[in-house]
Amino acid sequence: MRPRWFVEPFEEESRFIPPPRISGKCTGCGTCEAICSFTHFEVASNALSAIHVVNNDMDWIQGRSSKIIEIDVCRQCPGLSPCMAVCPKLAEGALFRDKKTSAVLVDADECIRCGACIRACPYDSMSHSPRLDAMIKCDLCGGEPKCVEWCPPKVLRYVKE
Amino acid sequence: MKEWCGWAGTVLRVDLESGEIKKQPLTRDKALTYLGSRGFNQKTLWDEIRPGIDPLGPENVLSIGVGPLNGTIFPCSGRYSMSYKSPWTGILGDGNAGGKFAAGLKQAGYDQIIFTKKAKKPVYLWIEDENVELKDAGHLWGETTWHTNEAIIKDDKASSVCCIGPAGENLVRTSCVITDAFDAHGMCGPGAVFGSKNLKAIGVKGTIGVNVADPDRFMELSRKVIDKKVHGPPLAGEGSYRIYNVGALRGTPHLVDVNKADNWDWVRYASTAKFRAHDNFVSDRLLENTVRLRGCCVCPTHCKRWYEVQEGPYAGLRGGGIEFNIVKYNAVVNDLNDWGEACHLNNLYNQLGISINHGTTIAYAIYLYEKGLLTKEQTDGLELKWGDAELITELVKKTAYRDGRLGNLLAEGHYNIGRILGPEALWHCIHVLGLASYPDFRGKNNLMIQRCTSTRGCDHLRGEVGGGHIGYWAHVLDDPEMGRGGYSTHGKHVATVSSQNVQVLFDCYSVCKNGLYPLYGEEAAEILTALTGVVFTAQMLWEIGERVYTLEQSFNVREGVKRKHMVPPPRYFAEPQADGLSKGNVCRIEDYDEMMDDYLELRGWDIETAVPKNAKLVELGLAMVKEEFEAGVPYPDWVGPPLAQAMPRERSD
Repeated sequence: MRPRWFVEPFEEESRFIPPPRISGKCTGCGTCEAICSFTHFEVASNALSAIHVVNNDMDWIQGRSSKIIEIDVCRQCPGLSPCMAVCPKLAEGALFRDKKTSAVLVDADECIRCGACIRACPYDSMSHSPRLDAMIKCDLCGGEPKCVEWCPPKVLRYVKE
Repeated sequence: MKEWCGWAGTVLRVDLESGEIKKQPLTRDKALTYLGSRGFNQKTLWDEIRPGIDPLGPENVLSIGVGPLNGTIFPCSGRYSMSYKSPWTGILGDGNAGGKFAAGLKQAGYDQIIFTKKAKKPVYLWIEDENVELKDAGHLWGETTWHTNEAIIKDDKASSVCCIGPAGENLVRTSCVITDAFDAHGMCGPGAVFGSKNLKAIGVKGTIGVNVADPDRFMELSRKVIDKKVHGPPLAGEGSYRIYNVGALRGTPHLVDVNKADNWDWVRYASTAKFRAHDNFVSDRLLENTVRLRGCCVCPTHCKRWYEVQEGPYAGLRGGGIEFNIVKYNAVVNDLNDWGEACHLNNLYNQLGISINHGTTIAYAIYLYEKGLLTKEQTDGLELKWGDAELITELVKKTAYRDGRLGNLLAEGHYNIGRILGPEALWHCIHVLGLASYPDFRGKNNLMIQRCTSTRGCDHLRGEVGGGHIGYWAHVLDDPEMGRGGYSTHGKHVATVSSQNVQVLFDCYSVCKNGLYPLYGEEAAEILTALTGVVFTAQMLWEIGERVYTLEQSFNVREGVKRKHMVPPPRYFAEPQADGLSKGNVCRIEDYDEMMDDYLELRGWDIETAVPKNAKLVELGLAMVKEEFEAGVPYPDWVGPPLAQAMPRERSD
C-alpha cells in the first residue's frame, strides 16, 4: 500500500518551548483556517476552511471540559475511508485518491452534494459551502500543506504513515 | 476587476428606536480619505454628534469600525475600533479590542456599524452575512458577559460576540464592552453607551470573506511581515523593540520585570515608589499559572493566555486574558499581594464588564479616605484601606450594581468623583482630560507632552513615546538628542507627532500595536496596494494619520477642550515624587509650555487655544471642520460629562 500523508495536530508535553516565540500549544489564533481558505478560494473565511479550530474555553473555565481547544482536520484515513465508504458516486470517481499524496479528493463535477461524506467523517473535517457550491476538504495542498507552514506555534505537522 | 478589494464596501446603519436596519454603500472617497476603522468612526462622529449632548442620552452615536486588513490572512489583524462620545470624560470616546470579532464582521461583508438612538427594550444585534436583525435580549439582561457570550454562541452559532455586563446596563461610567469573554474596549466607558441604548450585545458570523486584489503578492508580503517583524531578530534601530520578543510568552506582564521593587510608579495612588509585592508579580510567577497561550485572530504573537491559579486562596480559579493593566491599575495602585488576587480581579472585571482601569478609581477613593476627603458616611460605613483584595472585590461588585452611596460614587469614574467631592478632592486626582494612564510622568517630559495631547485623554495607546519608543524615533529621525529622557525637552514634540500619526494608522488598518509596531511608510503602502488594488504611497498614509488625529482634536474642541485643559494634574506640578530613583521629580510648567508651543506649531493648531488652524484644515481636506468653526459660536469650556442623569437609580430586585 502507498504511504499515507496527512496533517496531524500535536502538542508538546512541556508547557513552552524556547525560544519564547514558540508556545508548543495551539493558541486558537485561526491562522490555519485563514490560510487554508485563502489558498483555495482567495478569501480568508473559516467557513471555507478544511481545518477548524474549536474553542471550548468557556467549558474549560467552568470545569465542564478538560480541553480548551480541539483541532478538526482530515486524517486521510487509509484504505476505504469512511467518506468513500458512504459515497453513492464512488464508482464514478466523485471521491478519489491523489496519486502523489494518497489524499482523498473530491471531483466537483461527479459529486452530487448529497452530504453523506460530511455526516460520515469521524473528524468533522468535511463541509459544503452553499455560497460557492463547493465541497470543502483537505487536499494537502498538493503535498505542501499551507497550514503546517503558517502555524505560528508549530503545532501542526505533515506526517507519513 | 472585483468591485471592492480590502474593504467590504458596505456600512450598516442601525436605528435602534425604530429597529430599521439600512445597508449603505461605502464611498471610495471615504475609504481613501479615512482608510478604515478609527478613521471611519471619527468621520461619523464629527458628522453626526452635535456638541454638548449627554453621552448617555439617545442622541449619542456609537460607531464600530473595521479596517482594510481585518478579516484577511495578515498577521495581528484581529483589532477593531469603537467610538462614541464618552460618558466617562465627556470628550471623544474611542477604544480598540482584539479577539475574533473584527474578522467576523468584515468577513460578513461590513466595514462599519453605526448605532443611533435608543431601543425601547433590551436587544442584541445578530449579523450572519446578509442577514442582519435585532433580537430580543430580555433573557440576557442582567447576565454577566461570560453567560451572554456563551448563550449567543450556543443559540446562534456565532463566531464572535461582544457584549456588556451588569455594569454597562447600570450605566457605570467605567464599564467596558467585552469581546470573546476576555478582550475589552476598556477606556472611555463604551459599556454605559451600550447600556444607555438598551443594546446588550452584537453577535457575528461571517462566511463571505474579503477580496484581495493581488492574492499572491499579498500572501508573500504577509509572510514577510511575520518572518521579519514577529519571528525575526530586532531590526537595526529597532533594538528598543527587542522587548516584544519576550512579549509573546510573557505578554505585556513582562513589563513588571523591567521595574524594580523600590522604583515603581503610582503605588498607593502615587504616594510611594515601594511596591512590597514586586517579587510576587514578576512574569515568571505568572507563567507558573499559565496553562496555554492565547492568540487573537490570525495572530502569531499570541500575548494573551488562559490561566489556572496554582496556589493561595484562589487556587483552581480559571480564566483568560491578563495584561500588564491588571498589575499597574490594580495591584500597584492598590498594593495587592500576588497573581492569584490579580487573576481573581481580572475575572471579576471581565464578567461584570468593568474596565481594568477602574482599579485607579478605587485607589483614588481609598487615597481620599485616608486624606479625610471621603468620609465614613459617604462610604456607607466601610473602612477603606490599602492591600485588601477582599475589599476591592466588594467595591467592584458595589460599582457594577451601583449599590449604595459608595457604589454610586465609584460608578461615576475616577475624575467625576473629584468633581462630585469638590475642588480639594479634584486637586488630588491624577488625570488629563478625565482619564488616568500609567506611568507617573513627573520628570519624564517626553511622556508629559504625549499624554497631554492624547485625543481621548491621558493614554499610552495614542502615540507612545516612553521607554524604547523615543529611542526608536531618535534613530529614525537621526536626532540622538531626541532620545534623551528625563527633563530633556529637545525634539519631544516631533517624536510625539510621529508616534501619534503612526498609531492612528495602526487603528485604521486595523492591526495590533503590540505585535507589529512600527509598520508605516513604504512597507505599509506596499501591503495596502497589494490588498486593495489602489496605489497607496507613504505620503498618503502619513496624511491619513494626521487628518484623523486633527479631526479628533476638532471633535474635542467642539466639546469645549482648549489648551488650558490639556495639562498635567496640579498635583504633578506641586508634589514631587516621594521616594525611589525618581525622588524629587516634578512636572515643570516652563518645560510644559515650551514643548506644548512646539507641538501645536508643528501640528498646525493654534498656540493659544489648540484649535486646528484653517490652513491646516484645508490642507488635510477637512473643509467641513473649517466651515463649522467659522460659523460656530464659542463652545463652552470642557468640564466633563453631565452627571445628573446617571446618579442613584432605584434597584429593582
